[in-house]
Amino acid sequence: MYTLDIDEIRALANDVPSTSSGSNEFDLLKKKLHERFQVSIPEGLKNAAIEKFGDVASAPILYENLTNSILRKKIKEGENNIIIKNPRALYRIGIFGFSEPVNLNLTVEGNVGNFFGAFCNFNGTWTVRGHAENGLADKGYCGKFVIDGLATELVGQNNQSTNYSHGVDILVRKGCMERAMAQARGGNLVTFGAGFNSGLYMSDGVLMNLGEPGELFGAGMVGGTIYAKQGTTTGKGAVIKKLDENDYEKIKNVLRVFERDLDIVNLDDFSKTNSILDITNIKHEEVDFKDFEKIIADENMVH
Amino acid sequence: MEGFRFHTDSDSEVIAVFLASRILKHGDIEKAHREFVAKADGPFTYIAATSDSIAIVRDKFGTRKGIIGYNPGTDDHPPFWAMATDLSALDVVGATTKIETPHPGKPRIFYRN
Repeated sequence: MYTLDIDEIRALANDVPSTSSGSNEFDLLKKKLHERFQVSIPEGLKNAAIEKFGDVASAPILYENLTNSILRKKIKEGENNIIIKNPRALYRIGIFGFSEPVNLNLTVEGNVGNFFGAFCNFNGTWTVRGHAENGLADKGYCGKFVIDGLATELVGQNNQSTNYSHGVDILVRKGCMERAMAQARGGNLVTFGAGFNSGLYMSDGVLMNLGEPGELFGAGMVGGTIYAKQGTTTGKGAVIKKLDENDYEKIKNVLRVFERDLDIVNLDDFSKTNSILDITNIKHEEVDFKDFEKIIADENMVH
Repeated sequence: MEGFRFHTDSDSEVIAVFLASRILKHGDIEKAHREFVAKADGPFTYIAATSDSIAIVRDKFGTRKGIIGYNPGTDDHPPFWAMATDLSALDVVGATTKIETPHPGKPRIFYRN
């Protein structure tokens, strides 16, 4: 188990005296960080930080880069259980660039910023004990996310289903805002609420909204499936259909991934004739999938 | 917009001048926001305040983020709503009790009591 407290990096940076050029500041900070974490910050970051943020020590890109460098180093050393403290909505945590999936359980204690886990390619579970911002798991290949809070726009966008990955499995406990699973090409999202235009341009994957009915789902979709409560409206290019037996099997498979997270006790017996599930998310509820419908691409619009 | 003098190179100034011109014309702030949404092309979210209102307004496709949240208040401070683009900003001020996304193209306006 490794714990990275990002406030420790901030404290190190704040201890470095600022200079008018920023150059000495960068070199001092680089030396300090190397002594503490044995990672180097690239020279290119210096000018980028000064140009965009005015100095090095307060530049968020410094913390993004360092956080991912430290984690990458730990993963290479064989660490597969990591906790991040005090993320303070830092952007782009978890972009590691490994070509093969890594084994990693990651827990973030606090809010994460935009593009948490973008391009992710891992086996394990990444948990956020807070909220997530735009582009959660953007262009993700594989992995499982559990977000305890809300997520803003574009959750799971461009999820990638390839020959060797099926996309990312995501649970958002308090709901997503707009355009969840936009342009998804795979993956599964289970959420308790989803905003306008969710499922926009989907071509594969599953969006399952267990929250209140949504608006304008599935506009321009050419594939994939959205499961949502009756009353949900569709955008152009999507149609509403009743669930058939295959849908129940598909729902069962998607929820199987989150069976323990949602404390689902009767998933094995779930079927079209046994359509009620006991689910405990924020609170316990009985979800009757007879109240649900599916939204798919309108074949008359797909060419 | 013709006939107006601008004092900055910020495109946000166009919104302020447009709203002011419409209020001078008909006195209806909600109508002014709606007119801006109808006329404006491109992605935006803006917050605009007058002496008796504050509004958050998004483009009609909702391409830019904008969220509001409620802080129910404590013994030390009264309840309030907060507007932001990021959840973490609402979280900092504890305004996460009722989080809403304003409907694209529909102004969400709060009026002074």
